[in-house]
Amino acid sequence: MNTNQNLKFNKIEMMEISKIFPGVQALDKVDFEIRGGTVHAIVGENGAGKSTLIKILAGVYRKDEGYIRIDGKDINIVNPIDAKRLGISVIYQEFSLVPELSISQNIFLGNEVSRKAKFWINKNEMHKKASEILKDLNIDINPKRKLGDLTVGEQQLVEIAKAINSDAKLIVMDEPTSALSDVEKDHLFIIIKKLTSQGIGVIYITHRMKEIFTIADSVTVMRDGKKVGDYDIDEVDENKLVKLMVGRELGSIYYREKGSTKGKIVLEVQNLSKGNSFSNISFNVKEGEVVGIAGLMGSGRTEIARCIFGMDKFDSGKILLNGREVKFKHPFNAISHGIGYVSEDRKIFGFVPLMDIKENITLPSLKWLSTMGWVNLKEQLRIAKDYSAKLDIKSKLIQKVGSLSGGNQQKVVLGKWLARNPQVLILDEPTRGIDVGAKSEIHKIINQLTKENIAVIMISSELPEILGVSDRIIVMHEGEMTAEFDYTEANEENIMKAAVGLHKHH
Amino acid sequence: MQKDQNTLAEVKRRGQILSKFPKNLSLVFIIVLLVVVFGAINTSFFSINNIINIFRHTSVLSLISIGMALIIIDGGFDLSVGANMALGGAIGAIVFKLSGSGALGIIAVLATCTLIGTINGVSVGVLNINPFMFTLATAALTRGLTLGLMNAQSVEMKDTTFTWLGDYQIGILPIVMIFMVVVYLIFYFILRRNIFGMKIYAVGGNINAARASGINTKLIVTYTYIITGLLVGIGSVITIGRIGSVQPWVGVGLEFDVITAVIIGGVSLRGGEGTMLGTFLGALIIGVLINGLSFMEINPFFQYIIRGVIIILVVFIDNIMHRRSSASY
Repeated sequence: MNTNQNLKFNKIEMMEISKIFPGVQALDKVDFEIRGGTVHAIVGENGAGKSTLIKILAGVYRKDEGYIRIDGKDINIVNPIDAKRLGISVIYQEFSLVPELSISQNIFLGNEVSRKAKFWINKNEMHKKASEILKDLNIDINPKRKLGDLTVGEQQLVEIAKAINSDAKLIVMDEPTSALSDVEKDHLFIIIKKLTSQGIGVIYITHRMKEIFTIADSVTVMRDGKKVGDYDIDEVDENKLVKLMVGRELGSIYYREKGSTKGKIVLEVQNLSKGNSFSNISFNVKEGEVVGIAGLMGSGRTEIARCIFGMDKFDSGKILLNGREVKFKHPFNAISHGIGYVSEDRKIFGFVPLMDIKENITLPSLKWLSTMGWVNLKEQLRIAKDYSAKLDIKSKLIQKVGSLSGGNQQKVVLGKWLARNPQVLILDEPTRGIDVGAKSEIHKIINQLTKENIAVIMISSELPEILGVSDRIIVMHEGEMTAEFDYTEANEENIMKAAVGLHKHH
Repeated sequence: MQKDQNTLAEVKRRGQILSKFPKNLSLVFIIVLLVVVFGAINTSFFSINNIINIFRHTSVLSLISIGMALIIIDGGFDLSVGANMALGGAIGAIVFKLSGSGALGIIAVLATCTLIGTINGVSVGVLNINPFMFTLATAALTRGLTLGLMNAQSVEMKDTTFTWLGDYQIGILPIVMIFMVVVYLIFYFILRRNIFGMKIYAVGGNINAARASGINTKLIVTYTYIITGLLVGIGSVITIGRIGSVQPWVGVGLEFDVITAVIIGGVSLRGGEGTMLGTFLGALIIGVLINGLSFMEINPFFQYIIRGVIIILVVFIDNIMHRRSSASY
């Protein structure tokens, strides 16, 4: 921790910050403060509100309530330019750099915000200034090089240099190490120390517990849009943090009768690998069983689902359906074999907004509803009516799906696959972004499906949902399976540990 | 069962009345308005001869509009229809000259235009090349080929087999009018009841969801260009029959009229939306407009200005309608 008098600021405070998105209270009266010259970590599950909080500080979102103060003075941030002018720099997971420009050009890019802009830029002067900044940070790269030639880790350092050049007081890093090698990570930590010694404050967001204890001075835990607490790093350990992140009661909305007799294995995945996305994944699903796949976003869960469904190609491994190997080149092949996939992003992959409920529900079934290419409209209507009733979709069948609520849209997407009488259903975040009532209905539907002997694979970032619905649970961490639990032995803590990579496969 | 049928009928009725009719009704209103205005200025506009003339002139435009509608519903574009039509004529004329057979000539026209459509379709649909640029390129290529093959000279066509579709009349009724209505009916049913039509809407409305629903999206997009190529070939045969010669400069600016007609007819530039009835009415509006303006001997430069203004209006209306409907998403 920095005790010098050269602090760029004493204290930045966010007080009683609230933000509501349609249907979700993203932040509920959150207080947060960071002192100059320190590294302050923020941890929490996906959807806990970390990113929303940071985006409010960076001017990307506007807060609904609350106020922000720098050294006791109220400030107003309504857009990213305001934030930059106040010396708040955010380094996102996707960089805002231009690969075609040189490093020094990138460092000076957009700087007119904080300095008096010069219309003509003296190249030599620019290179000189850039190499000073880089040298000061112990970064040994020639600033004349093209940015696109650098590694991801080096580009990140350039991003930091850019922040310093714009007189940043506070630098926010959102999962900065997710794409870095160990050597690059160590270099980044040295640079972070250097920043704090210059009096700069650093907010550090990560899912990786170990890094927090290496680099942070203090940590804030968030859960469900609320702050759980602020802690000095000496007050907590990894286990305590995980407990604080997930510690909540299981609601009754996650209801399913688990552990009833299971049938034969329907789908089996053997040693499936794909590039950087995932490696050596093996698991199976039985008739009437729900296998939950837990893990953080980006841990490779969705990529596995897409490969099983024939949307993407995989490098090695096998997929067996009823004991026989299958190779799907296109989702159509998977659909013909009785596999359905409810994507995590229903707006992109789930439905056609301009088509009505009837047309969307029957879209994957059209081939089986037509003779010589002519669709049997009566049969189409009957099926649409059937599943719309079964799923309790209250809107009229001729309503365009784009105009429905999130819950009803998701029911339409489910109906689409149920109408195909699937043997395997892959549900990727089936209840994301829908209200509690619809969530509970969807869990009841899943329960009903398993009674009809459908094998279900459910990917979810919500631990209560994973625990409440699955018979068996697989946990992923950075493309690898780190644990597998029966529902009787699983709890939030051991899943979360495996998901952040604290607990390796037995 | 009885109840089911009632609901089916009701759903169909509501679907038609609520969502389709008002838009098309306004198109009918525009046509009536144009006819009244032109007729008031020059009463011979109303003559049976002129009305039949309008339909004859519009037949090529409206047939190619069918293909263009399918392409635009699927989010694409085709700027090569006019030049493709000319190339088809040139190849047809050469084959006719060599073989002396009108039937072979017609087959050559259809094959050429369908081939160009297929090249467009594969490039856009399968290879994912930007449709605007690629069809601009095929337009230049085919026009250049045509001028070279025909030495920029027109060729007379007297063969009655070749000219039948464009020239033959039953009494005063041109056969091409009946043909056009039949083709429209076929595509009306394809879009409403055929698996292919439903896939076209799905691909245009959300290509990712369509693929995830098992639709071979590349193939569907490719087909829309191939169909357009075939319709362009038919349009080429009709034009040759109507004017009795093969012209190297035929179809210049045709893509302009066709795209305007399709957009006026309610096909959304954002894809996923559009009907055959609307497309037909859009083509008719352009047909009446072109006929009326030349009937009044209005200077061509002014005709271009009027068309430009119409396109701007249509695009604005499309924009406003979209904003209104997307507000409820």
